[in-house]
Amino acid sequence: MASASPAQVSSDQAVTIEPSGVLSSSASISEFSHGGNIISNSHHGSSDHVYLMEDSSGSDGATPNLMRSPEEVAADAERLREQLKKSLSRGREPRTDIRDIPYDPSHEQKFPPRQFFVLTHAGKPVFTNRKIDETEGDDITNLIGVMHALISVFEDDQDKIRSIIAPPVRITFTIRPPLYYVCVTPFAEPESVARIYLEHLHLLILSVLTGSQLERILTRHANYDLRRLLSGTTTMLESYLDHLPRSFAILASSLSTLRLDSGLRLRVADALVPPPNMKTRLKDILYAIVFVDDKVVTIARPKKHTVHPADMHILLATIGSPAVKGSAASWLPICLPRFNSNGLLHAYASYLQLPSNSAASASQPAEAGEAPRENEEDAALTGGTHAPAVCLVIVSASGDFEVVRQWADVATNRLRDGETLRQLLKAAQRSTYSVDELGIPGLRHFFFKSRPNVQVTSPIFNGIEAHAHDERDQVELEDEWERLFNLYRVVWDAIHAKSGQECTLKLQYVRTEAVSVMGWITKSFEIYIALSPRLPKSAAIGAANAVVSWVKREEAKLFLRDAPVF
Amino acid sequence: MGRVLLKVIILGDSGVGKTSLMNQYVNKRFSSQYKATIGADFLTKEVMVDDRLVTMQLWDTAGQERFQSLGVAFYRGADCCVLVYDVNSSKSFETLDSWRDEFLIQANPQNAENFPFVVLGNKIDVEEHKRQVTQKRAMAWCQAKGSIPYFETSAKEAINVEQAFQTIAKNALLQETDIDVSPDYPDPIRIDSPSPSGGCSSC
Repeated sequence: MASASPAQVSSDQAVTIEPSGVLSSSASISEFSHGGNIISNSHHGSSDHVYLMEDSSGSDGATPNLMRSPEEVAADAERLREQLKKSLSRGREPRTDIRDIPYDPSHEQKFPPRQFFVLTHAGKPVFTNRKIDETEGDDITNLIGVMHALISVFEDDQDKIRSIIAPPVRITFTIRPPLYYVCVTPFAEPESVARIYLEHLHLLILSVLTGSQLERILTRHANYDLRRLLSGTTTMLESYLDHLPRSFAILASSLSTLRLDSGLRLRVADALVPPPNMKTRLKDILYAIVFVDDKVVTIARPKKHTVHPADMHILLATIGSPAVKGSAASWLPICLPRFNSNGLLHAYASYLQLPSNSAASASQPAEAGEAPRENEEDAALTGGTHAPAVCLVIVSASGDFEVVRQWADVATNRLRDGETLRQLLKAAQRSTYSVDELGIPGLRHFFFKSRPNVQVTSPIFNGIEAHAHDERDQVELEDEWERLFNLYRVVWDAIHAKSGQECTLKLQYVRTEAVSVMGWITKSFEIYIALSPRLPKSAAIGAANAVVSWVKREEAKLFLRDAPVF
Repeated sequence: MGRVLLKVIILGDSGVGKTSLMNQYVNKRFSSQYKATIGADFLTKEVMVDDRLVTMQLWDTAGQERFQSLGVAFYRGADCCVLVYDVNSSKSFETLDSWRDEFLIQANPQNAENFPFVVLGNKIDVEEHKRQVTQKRAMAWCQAKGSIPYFETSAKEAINVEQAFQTIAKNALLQETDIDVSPDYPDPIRIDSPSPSGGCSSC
């Protein structure tokens, strides 16, 4: 940071990132069905002629300024009329309406590792993923000292430092008293994205300490070294920070769902709903969830509670930590901060295995011929490095372990008995799909977010060169993916006008030599598609429409739409 | 887990030798490039205290004494406060009271009576006839304020500096480790009632 000068320091009031979505099974899917043709889908949807009108009404979160003079209001009205006129005339020439994001070569660079720092309001180090360079000595202490000094200078003026722009990096600050969060990210990555990383890091720390405990300790003992309470969670924090920039679901405040036959998904759901005679005993149960790897299969919950995507990502990070992953049963105190940042819940996590067949084959010698084959298949389903990991998670407000464990056993047996678990494991191995399945010329990859369902789906990435099915260098593929993701983030930021763009625009387009990326948002979905750069823009629109129709046809499999309630 | 960080604030009138003392003590690693920009300066030094390696971060008021020195945000969570005066200046000794008060008000430590201070009477290398504050007078003041450890130092001649900072580190570490945070389990949640901060169905 010492080399960051000359630095521009911009300060402002606090930025809060509101949770932009909750999963609710009651949300209607019909909205999504209306999201059809790109031509008529204006955000306001009132006129066939209004083609992609700029979102000047601020329905996506732009706050109206209440302090404006009548002259300013009149000027705005005039500007709006001009825009409308333009939009109307533009309606006849569809292709020019996509906003082009200027190409910036830095979008295609491979980014250096992002560095994160957490300190207390006294400037005591809490966490960093920056590696200590032994030859340089302990410069992290000095860095944190400078960060604390900077934050304090602004704080003493009742102000908050937001970011320092020091190309090639950007230093972003998020103040969540009594903790301060700082990250050093590539300048080419939008600030809004860095803020999402920092907010999620904060939520993960809350999930371990809870907001009230943090507050209590640091108010009483401002000099307290929080690392004492976080010891043991460093690995989880580090791997979550590695995961954050790779997750579109987190960027889009959504869940990632396992593609699954809806009948099978329903059978899993049925196994999770408590039998009527247990309902009173299980009144403290908040969620019962089945995950396969990092994807949701289904979530059962009491009717009055919603699911917050950020909480689910925290749950996934927790059950994916080395101490828990793969184990048959773990009982973890956890705070789900979007549900309640001050209270502690308990999560029972169990990685499910298929029942062993050895006992069955011994008692039924007649079927001995069958058993080995099935065992082999089971081994492939549950062993092996690429075997899907099925995890049952039950979140309870009560610390009564036995009650939760008993119910988990019931649910586990239900899943095993009816062959549901075996079918789920098999289906999970076939759940990924490639863009080839869609048969859309020039389409390389996409992300689709169903806004009513607050869920995302995407194909596996096979590279941005068409039909490059030969032996691809994994490193090269990884680099390509990272560069493409950079573009997705830039388009995402532009669509949501998170970096002070004049207004949100529902269609954004950026093209590099290797690929073009288009983003499109409507009331019912958000879509980001990566295409061959040789395709004209009109074809991009056609491809987006084709993806939308495909998703619509497949949505029963792609998304969790009828999550069970009890 | 990283090394313990001890936060030490150094206060005293302009010209008593705060910066010189720090430089003398830390000597090898001196950096002042932040001073002009942010109005605060610090030095870090790794110290052995009772066979334990700790990092001491010494905060200096970067020539801003005229403007009430540092603000609340800087003082927060300090582990020790060093009060410095010049033995050849009565005035610098008499203002120790207000520096101590200033610190206690701004930092607002949990247990103000037992918060560790250390007093340094600097510039003892100057000729004896120029001395205005006797050791007896200084020690009486320290005694009255709750037995504050007192050292007479010379940053110029490196007299007593090492010993003084060793005591500072030791007392800071005591303050830092003397926290018993009973892991009082946070309030259980009742899920059948609307929770105050989360669980909203509208967000």
